[in-house]
Amino acid sequence: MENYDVVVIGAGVLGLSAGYSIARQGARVLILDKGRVGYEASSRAMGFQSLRGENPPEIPLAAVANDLWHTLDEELGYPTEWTPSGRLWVALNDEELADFRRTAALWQSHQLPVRMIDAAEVRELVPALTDRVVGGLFTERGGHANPQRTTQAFGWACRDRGGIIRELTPALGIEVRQDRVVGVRTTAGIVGAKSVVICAGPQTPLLAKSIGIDVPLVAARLEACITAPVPPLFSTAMVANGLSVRQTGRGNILFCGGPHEWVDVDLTSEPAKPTSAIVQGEARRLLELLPNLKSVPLLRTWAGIVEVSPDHACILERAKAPEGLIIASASGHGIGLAPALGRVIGELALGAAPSIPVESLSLDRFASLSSDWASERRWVAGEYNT
Amino acid sequence: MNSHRVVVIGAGLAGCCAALEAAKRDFNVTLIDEHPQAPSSMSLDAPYFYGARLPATLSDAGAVADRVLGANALLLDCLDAGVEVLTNTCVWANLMPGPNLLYTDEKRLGLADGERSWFLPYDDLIIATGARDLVLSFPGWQLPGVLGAQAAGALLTRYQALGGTKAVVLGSGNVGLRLARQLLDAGIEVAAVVEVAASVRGDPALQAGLVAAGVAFHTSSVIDSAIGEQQVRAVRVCALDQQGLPVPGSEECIDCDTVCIAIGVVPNLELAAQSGCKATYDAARGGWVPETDDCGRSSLEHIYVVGEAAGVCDKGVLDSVQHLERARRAAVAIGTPQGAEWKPTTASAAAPLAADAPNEWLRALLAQGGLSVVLCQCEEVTRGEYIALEAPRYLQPSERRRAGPIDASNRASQDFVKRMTRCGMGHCQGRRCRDHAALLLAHANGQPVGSIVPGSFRAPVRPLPLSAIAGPDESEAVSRTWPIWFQPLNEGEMG
Repeated sequence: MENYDVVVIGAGVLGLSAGYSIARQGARVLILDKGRVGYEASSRAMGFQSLRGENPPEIPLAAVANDLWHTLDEELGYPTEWTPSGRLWVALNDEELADFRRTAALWQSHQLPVRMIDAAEVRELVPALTDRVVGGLFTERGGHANPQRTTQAFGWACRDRGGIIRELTPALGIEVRQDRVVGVRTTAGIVGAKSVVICAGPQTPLLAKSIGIDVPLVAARLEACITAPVPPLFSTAMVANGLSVRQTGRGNILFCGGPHEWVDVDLTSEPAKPTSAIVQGEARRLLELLPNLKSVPLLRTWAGIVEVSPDHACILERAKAPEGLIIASASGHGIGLAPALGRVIGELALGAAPSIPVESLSLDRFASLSSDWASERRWVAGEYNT
Repeated sequence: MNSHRVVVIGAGLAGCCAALEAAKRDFNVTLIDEHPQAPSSMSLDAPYFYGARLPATLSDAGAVADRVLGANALLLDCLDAGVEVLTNTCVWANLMPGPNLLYTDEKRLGLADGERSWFLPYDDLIIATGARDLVLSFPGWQLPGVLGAQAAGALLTRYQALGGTKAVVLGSGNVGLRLARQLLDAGIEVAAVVEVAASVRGDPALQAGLVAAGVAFHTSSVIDSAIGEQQVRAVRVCALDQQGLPVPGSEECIDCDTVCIAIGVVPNLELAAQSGCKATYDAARGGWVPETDDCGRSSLEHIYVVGEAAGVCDKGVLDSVQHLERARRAAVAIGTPQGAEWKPTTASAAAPLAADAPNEWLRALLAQGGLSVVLCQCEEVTRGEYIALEAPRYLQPSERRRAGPIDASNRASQDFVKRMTRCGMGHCQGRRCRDHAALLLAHANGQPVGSIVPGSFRAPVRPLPLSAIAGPDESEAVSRTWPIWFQPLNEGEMG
C-alpha cells in the first residue's frame, strides 16, 4: 500500500496551497481529486483578496495572506497575476452610502485601513463608471488575482517540491484505526496516511460524516460572466450594483453576482453547473455601471458550486478524534486567503502549532447549532436566495 | 392551431422541412434563423469563418434581407403554412430546469437580435443548426480574403457579397467541388483546387465539370502560405512526395484574391451541447455529434436534432434526402413519449486515420508550416505553444515559464489545455480553432482524436454585445432581493 505523511482530499486552491506548504517542509504529501486540478470553485471564482473586516475571526488570516500575496509569484515560481490595487465598493444611492459608512466604522474598529471616498475619487479610480456614482468605500490593501492561474501555480509549486497530485481519483471515506486516521479509501484502493486533510469543498461534509463528524456546510450555485478583452479601464477589485467586477490581466471584464441556488453534491461526479436567465440581469447591471461597454461582446458565462458555513466564515478544525484529521473550508473566501490558509493547514497536518490564531474558526463555534439548521434556514437544494 | 409550442432553430432545408411538417400537425410552430446577419455579428466569425473581408454592401440591411430571404423559398412556404418566422434572430442559450437548476419548471430559449434579448418558452425543440467548416491554419490565414467554404457559399448564394474575383479552393471533397462550381456560376474565376491527397476526393461528375471549365487541380499539394499585405494577392503551394512530405523547392505561386478552406465540415454542436444533450464521436458523421435516434430524438426528452447538425460528412453533403426524412420524422414524433426504448444511432466504426482528410491536411500543413503557425487568432497562440501548454502572451516573458501538465492525462483534455494557453478563449469562442486544436492534441499525444475530451460549450453560444444580452429593467421584486454574495435582503425572485 502507498503511504504518505499527509493525504489531502481536494485539489482546489486550499488543498494545493496546503500541499505546497507540506511538501516545502519535506514531508511526503499526496493530493487527491475526484476531477482535475482546480476545476471547480477555485477556477470559477472572482479572485478577490479582502481584509475580511466583515468577518472578524478571519482578519488575522487575511492580514497574513495579504503580506504573502506580495511575494507569492517569486515564492511559487509561477505568475498568479496578483494586482495589489485595493478594494472598492461603489455606492449608486444614499442608502448604499449609509450602509458603507456602517461597514467603514466596523472595519475601522478592527484597525483596518478603509475610508469613505467621494464620487470624484471613485471615478478617478474607475473613470468609466456611470455618473450615477454618489461615493464609495475604499482600501488600498487587498486586490485581485487570476484564480485559475493562482490555483495552478500552487499545483506546480507543490509538484516541483515533490508533492504528488492525483486527478480523477475520488476519495470515498477515511480509514480509522484505534481512533487515529490511517488512510483514505479511494475509487482506486486505500492510500495510507499519518494525517488526512479534508478540504474537498462542497464534498467535505459527506467525507466527514462517514466518520461521524458533522461539518455544517451547504453548497450553492453562483453564476459568472466574462466579456471580450478591452483596453485597460481600471485595476481595482470592485463591488458595485450587486456585482463583483474586475478587469483581468488579459483585459476581459469578469463579473459575477446575483441570486444563488442551493444544491446537493455527491462524492464522485462533477456537479451540473447550468447557466440561468440571471445572466441577462447581470449584463444589464454591468452596463448600468459601465455604460461604455455596450458594444463589447459577452463571450462566456459559467457557474461554480461553492460551499458556505452558517456564519460565512472559514472552518479550520484539528479533530479531537480521530487523531490526525484536519478539516478545512474557506466558505467562499478560498482564493484570497489561500496563501495563509494553506500555511496553517500544513502546520496543523504536521502536528505543529498554528502560526496564525485560528482557534475561533474551529467547529466548536457550532456546538449550539440545531441539527436542522440548514432546513430551518431553507438552505436546501432547490431553494434559492435564502 | 393547438397551444403546444414547437420551436425549430435553423431555416435550412432540414429546419424548414421540420417546421412545415409540425405546422401540418397543427402545432404552434416558431422557426428561428440568425440570417440575415448584420456585419457586426459576421465579424465575430459566427456561425461561419467569414474572415476579415466583409464587403461594404453587407451594411445595406434592407437589400441584404431581400436577397437572403428571397433565396429561401422553403422559408416562404413556412410563412404561408402559418409558421411564425423570426429571422435575424440568434439563439444564444437553451435554459432548462434540471440538476442544480430547479427554481423554474419552464424550458425557454434565450433569443437576441442586434438590439435586445428575450426569452421564448417552448414545449418541444428541433435543433437544425447545420454545420460549419473545419478550419486548419497556415501562414497568412488572417488576411482579408481567406474564409471557410460554408461562409463563402453563404456569401455567394444568399448574401451575394463574396467580394472576390479569383479564388483558390483548399480541399477537393464535395464541399470544395460544390463551392468551386458555385464560384464559377457566379462568374468568379477558380484559379486552383488544392488537395493533399494524390487524387480528387469528391464526386467525379462534379470534378469533370470543373475540369471542363478549365479549373486546375493541384493534387499531392499543400498550401504553404497566403501572401499579401492588405489582403490576399496569391497563395504559395508546395508539392508533396509519396510519403506526404513537402518537396523542397517545389513551391509555386498562384495569383488569387480569395482562399476558401474546404477541408472538412463539422456539425454545429454548440446549442445541443449547451442544452446538455449527450454527444458521441463519430468520424463518419463529422466528429462530435449529438446522440440521436432515427427520429432525431436526443438524449433529452423534447429536444430533437436534425439535418447536418446531427451529423455530416463530406461524402454526404450532396445528399439531403436522408436529412429531410429525419427532419420530417422528428416533427411526427413530437408528442409521443420518448420512453425507455430510446437508442441512439451507434457510431460507425472509425475510419483508419490515414484515410481521414482533416488528419492528412494537418500532417501536411504541419510538415510544411511547422509549429510556429498561429492556431488561435483571437489569443495569438501558436501550434507549438498550444501543445507545449505555454502560458499566454499577455504575461511578461519572464512570467511565461513553461510548467506543463500536472497529470499526463491533462493533455487529453481540451478544456485543460485551453485554460493553460487561452487557445479558444477569444471573441470567436473557439469556432476557428477548436477542431484544429483537437486534431493537433491527438497528433501530439499519438491518440485518436475521438479520445480527446472536447472543450465544453456554454451560453451564450453566440458572442453578443452586452447591450443586446442585457435584459429589460428587472422587476421591483428582483431588485429588492438581488443578493450580494449570499446576503439577500429578502428571499425572493430568482432574476
